[in-house]
Amino acid sequence: MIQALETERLGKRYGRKWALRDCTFKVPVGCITGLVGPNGAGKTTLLHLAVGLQGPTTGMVNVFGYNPSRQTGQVLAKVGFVAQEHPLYKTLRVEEMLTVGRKLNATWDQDLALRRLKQLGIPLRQRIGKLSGGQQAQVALVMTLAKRPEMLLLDEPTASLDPLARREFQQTLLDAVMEDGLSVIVSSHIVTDLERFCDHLVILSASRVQVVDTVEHLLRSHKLLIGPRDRAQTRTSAYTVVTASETGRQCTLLVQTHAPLLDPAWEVRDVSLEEIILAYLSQSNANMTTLEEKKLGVAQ
Amino acid sequence: MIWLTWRQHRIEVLIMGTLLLMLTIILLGTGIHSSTDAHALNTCIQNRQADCSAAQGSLSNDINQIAENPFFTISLLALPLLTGMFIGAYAIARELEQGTYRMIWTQGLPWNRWLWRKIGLLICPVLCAFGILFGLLSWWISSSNALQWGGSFSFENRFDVWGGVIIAYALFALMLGIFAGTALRRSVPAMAVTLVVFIAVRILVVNFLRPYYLPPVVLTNSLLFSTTPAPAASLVPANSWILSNTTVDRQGRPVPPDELFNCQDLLGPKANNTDQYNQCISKHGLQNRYVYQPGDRFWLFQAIESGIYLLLAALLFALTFWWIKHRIIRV
Repeated sequence: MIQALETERLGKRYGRKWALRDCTFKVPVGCITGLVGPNGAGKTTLLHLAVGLQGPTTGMVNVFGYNPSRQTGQVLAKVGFVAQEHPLYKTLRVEEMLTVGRKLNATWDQDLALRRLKQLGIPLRQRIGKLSGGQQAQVALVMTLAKRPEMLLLDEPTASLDPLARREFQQTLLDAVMEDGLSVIVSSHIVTDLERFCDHLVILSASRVQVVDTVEHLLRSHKLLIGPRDRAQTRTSAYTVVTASETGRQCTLLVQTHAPLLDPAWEVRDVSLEEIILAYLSQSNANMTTLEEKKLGVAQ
Repeated sequence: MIWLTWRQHRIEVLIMGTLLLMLTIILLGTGIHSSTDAHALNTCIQNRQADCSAAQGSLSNDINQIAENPFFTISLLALPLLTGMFIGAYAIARELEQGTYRMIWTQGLPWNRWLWRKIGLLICPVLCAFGILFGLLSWWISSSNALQWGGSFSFENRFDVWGGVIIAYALFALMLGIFAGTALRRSVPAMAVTLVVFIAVRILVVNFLRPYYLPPVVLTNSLLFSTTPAPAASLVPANSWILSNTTVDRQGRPVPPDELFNCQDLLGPKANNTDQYNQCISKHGLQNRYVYQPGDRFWLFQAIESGIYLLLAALLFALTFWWIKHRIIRV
């Protein structure tokens, strides 16, 4: 079955620094996937690789079965991309920007674009540069929706927006997704954004993929365990510790469970998606630190 | 794409168009005026009137007013450069520095097809504008018989302005600007680089390549004083580009000027002794040595120089593609 996005051992290096490494995952058609990670984790690189703005150093990436570097035309026909900071020609009027889209895309739904802009109350005669940041983001989104893609790739679409504009943007996005059954991959470092509408999650950190899973399964399989400190040492196969913290005699573990927890010494709590994401991000940071320490040790 | 390219570059194109229009008006106005004067001079000569110097003077005046006008010459020398700086340097750099390349290369057209069209759509108007300009300049020269009556119309000083090379200069400057903008990703530094490199290449070509497109002709003629006029074969043909004119001795070595002056003193007001002068010249075996490019090589040289600049432009075109592919996208 053709995947909306499929990567295998995908890597991208700039000079000596890896922006993305060893990245293997699949995104099925029809999902809304959140791509989450701190700044510099490789989210933008991954999305640029998917639309042919960058070529991979190692491995491969396919979008609907096409190679974005060699079959850029086929990929662009199926994908709408909103780059970070939603770049548009600031000196053009909104209607001129639509003309650009109409002239450069094989399929273009002008009615849809006009209808959505009218709903949003964005005047067609206004210059892009005079619009607010939120309105500019909306115009960029409308531009990609009007090309009638099968998948949207959005790079931090709401990062520069205030909370109200953010909510409006997400509403436009959700409406479009509901109407057309689009696949969406949206990158963000704002976790609450993703919780609201993503069903899949890819956690990227330190240039590597940490977790690929459905949101539902993530929430179901992760628990917070609170119990006496001495019990933390006993390993069981029932769970994998993601993070652990200790206060006095008490110990708090965020774990991924594989089987029901039967030990009555532990108090078991549900965790939010944000806590899970943060746990994985801090875990990969900790790994990075120990790795750095090991390197230092070898050097000495 | 045509619409977008026009929309993005319309201000520069309008300014260029205005400049072209001004030059057209100047050339048409003065060209019509001088062709009237040329007609008057022709009539005068055909009627074998005694004194045509007044008619000749007014025609020469018409011609030199334009040919020796520094503003006219400078604007024609600068026009290709301005094309490179204000159209070429901005074309790609603006997309890269404002980040809009991420938007425009992810519409329906992949970057390589976008680039072909973009460059093609910039080349077309530049080619048209400079083609028209060259046509006008050629018409101006022929309508006023400028080569015959314009004192300052030599090979050398009409080469850069009044020849077809101006078209090749413009295309080279355009591609230079485009490549500099692509490589530097900033439009203002790209403008500066275009300015410096264009001027440097022009100076290098004029001084070190152009004199040697074909081996120059060497002509030596006698310095001996004679009352009969020298035969035509011993003179440098009119409209030639003289690269050097030196006095040499029997062995062909250049002679220091004071040695010649010693002989020339014999012709001076004190002692007008031609025999002694001729003896002096013969004793040292002094002769005049001219190195020059004949005037009839003008169009051949224009073609060679145009070829060089067009080749450079093609190279920069290929380099721009290579740079985006391997330095920006890094396939």
